[in-house]
Amino acid sequence: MSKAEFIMRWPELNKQVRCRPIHHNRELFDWFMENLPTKCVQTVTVVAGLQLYMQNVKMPKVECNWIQENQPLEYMADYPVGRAMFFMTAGHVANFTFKAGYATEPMPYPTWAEVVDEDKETFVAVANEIWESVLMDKKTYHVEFFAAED
Amino acid sequence: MDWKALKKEIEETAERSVEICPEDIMRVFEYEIAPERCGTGGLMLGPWFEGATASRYLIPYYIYNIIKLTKDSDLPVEKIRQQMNLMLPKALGTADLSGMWTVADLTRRTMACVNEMENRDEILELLNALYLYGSSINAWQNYRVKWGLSAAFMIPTRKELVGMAERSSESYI
Repeated sequence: MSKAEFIMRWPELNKQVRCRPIHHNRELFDWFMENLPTKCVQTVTVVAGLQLYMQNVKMPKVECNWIQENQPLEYMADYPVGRAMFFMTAGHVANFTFKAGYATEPMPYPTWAEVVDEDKETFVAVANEIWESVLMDKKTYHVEFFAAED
Repeated sequence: MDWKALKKEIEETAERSVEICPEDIMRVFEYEIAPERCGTGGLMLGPWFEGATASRYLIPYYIYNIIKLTKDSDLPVEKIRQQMNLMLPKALGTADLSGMWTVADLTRRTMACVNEMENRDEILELLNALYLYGSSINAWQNYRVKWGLSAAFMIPTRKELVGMAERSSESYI
């Protein structure tokens, strides 16, 4: 039986972290969970700061049924490392990031999930490795998302 | 034109592009093959930069905006067509000239289909397929962009950034 938690896994690195809902936008978290499992190419945002960047995430089961502008928002610079936000999500495609360090873009976004505290060290280490790759080495990484089981 | 066959072709291309870097990206970003001799050859920002900018706007930004606006504001078919035909052509032409041939071809055929279609839900299905494929192109571009070039430039300090922001206001006087 699935619970309110999903796993974010990087198969090329053989590492994974757990993610849970936050204090708001629970319906966005539930919508994402309904569409699991899914996967995409893993990049980083670069210009906006250190965030893991998921740009081509197929949402195969339930299309986007919420409006970004109507949701509670948080400023990227203010929310904690490990937290996720959606943007440019429409139809059956999701775009989102997980903040992994210094982020500067002065824009508010609908935040909706966060890496659990015990896994944040792993998460930041993975983000730093992928940051180096996107900027210099150009090795390819993927990221998979699937529901955690009880 | 058979929109279902085109949708299937786009979806299969999108599916492959999650696993394997698309040919367009390898051609333009990795090998910088641009037989049209477009772009600013010989300088740092060559055809790959034009290709990235144009194809990012073409699908991830414009198609996203069309899908979002259609859903959020319940737009009718004629408005979807109007937006598509107004927004896409310039970016489509630039992406094509920059060597993003698959992106351009699938977009051009999608536009032709949508211009003949009447069912709004079917149009959205086709646009969704193109949006997913374009989002993959966006992701791979993000990966392949020569971010290392930024190492050639000094990163401003916070104090310098504040100074730059203060100076920027003078240009609007």
